[in-house]
Amino acid sequence: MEPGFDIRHVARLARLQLSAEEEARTATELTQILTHFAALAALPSGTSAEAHEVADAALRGDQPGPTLPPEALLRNAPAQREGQVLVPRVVDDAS
Amino acid sequence: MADVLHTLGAAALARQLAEGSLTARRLAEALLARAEAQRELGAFNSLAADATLRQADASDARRRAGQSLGPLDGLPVGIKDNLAVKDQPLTCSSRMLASFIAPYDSTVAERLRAAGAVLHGRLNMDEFAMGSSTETSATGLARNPWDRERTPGGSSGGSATCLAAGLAPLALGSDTGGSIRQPASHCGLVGLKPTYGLVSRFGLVAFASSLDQVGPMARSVEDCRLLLNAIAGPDARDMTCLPAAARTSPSLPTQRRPRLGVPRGLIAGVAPGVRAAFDAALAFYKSEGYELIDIELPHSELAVPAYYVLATAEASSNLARYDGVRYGHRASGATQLEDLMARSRAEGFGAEVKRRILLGTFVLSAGFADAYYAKALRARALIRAAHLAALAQVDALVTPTVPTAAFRLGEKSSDPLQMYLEDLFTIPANLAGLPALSFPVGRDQGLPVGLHLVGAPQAEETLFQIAAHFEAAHDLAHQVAQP
Repeated sequence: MEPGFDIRHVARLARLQLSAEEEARTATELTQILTHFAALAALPSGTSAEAHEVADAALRGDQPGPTLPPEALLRNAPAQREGQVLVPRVVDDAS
Repeated sequence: MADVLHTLGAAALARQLAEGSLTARRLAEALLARAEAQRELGAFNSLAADATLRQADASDARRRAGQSLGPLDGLPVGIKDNLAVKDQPLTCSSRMLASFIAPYDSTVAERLRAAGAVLHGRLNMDEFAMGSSTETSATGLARNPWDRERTPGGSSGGSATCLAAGLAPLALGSDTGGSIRQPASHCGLVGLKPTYGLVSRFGLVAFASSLDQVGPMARSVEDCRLLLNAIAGPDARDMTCLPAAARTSPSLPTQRRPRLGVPRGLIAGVAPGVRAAFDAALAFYKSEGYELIDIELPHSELAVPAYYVLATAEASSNLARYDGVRYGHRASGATQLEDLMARSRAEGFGAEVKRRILLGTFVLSAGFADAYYAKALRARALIRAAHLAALAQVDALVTPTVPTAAFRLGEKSSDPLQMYLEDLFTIPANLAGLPALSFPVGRDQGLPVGLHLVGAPQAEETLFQIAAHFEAAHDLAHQVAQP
């Protein structure tokens, strides 16, 4: 395994709950995949030029226009109340 | 005539619609009936027959009023299930988005509507476009119409199955590392990944934003070009779109022989049947006066690793939006926000998506980003430079599209690395932002084999011309598998 490769740490960063079986399997698979990627590590470090030249990439004009109504955006919310998306409590009553 | 409608291409159908010998309604009904009869192919995640027929009726009404919108008016176009079509499901073949309804049209859907096309069904795909076989789909796998025990390829496997089975004359796919071209090759179709920036991604569910492109798939070069023309063009809602002023459309030079570059060093591991079809295609071009030039493409060995580092890094960021909060699957019973996110994602994503999110998170994490992500960016710049240098000498680079013909369902699904190597020939065009086309050039034990062309930026027309040259001399276009 890669030094420092910690599947639990990576899963926590990714906000992804893994079962013990998934942890073991994924750690093995990722180690294999990373070993195959060793050719990359052999590349000398250096500046990495932009891969795409997006010609004249410009932001669009700052012009007012129609937006989606709240009901269209809330239609896909897993839980909602009074025009708001509902989530578990994130602040204690005491605060 | 109804029994042959499904075998006709877009251009032929458009002529019949224009003559009045066919109505959009009758075409839509015939294709809906055929899709229903071939459900076991798994091409569609869902069909909205009412919506399809409503659009067809509107097309017929326009035509009767003398207000036809052009060659696509009344033609059904299958839409991959990662492109937003207003008020229709947008599942990405994932449990995460199983109940998501698109609140707006993608730009490509909007453009097809403006051209009168009938947006037809939601096409199956690998979950979030991550896969090369459509086996990672949470809605069930798609089958190759030429051999139902084999994969149609992926991730746009539903699009390819739909076309090869004659369920629509045209389909849209998306291509991040080969997801249009590999299934086109496995199903005997023409599929184009356009130049990065030619087609808007507004309304395409993001996978790896520096690589993703939407593109056309069809059963002939002419039809593929027709669909590209309808969807290409600048869009203020996608800042990576090439502005109109930057558009060029180089075609094959007429004052000298066309030149094809053959990177012989790359094709050593190709399966014998694929190699035979490839050599025969090269022999054809040579006999037609093309110049074949052996070409070196340095750094090619870095393409697959660089791609999987960059694509997964970008995916880990793009898919962070699926947190169970604003839309998508939410785990029940969570009492804390972080628990809600981690469990919703655990339940909503399949194994391949999780694997890529974890790989992408790792290569971006503190202490490893320099060793992986930064090196991959550097490899990408080297690969792009090598391709542009080669394309300064030739009109297109040519390889097989895939090293083997379509593999059996289940054959590679337990080995992610073997699956990743399916994309060996297709990945560099995404890394370099170049246009690339797959078109059918033969068969290997009955299974279609595609030829892969890569062109200079915006040289789509050059690629179409080279492919059309072969197509005109062979009987490989408009092939539909019979059940």
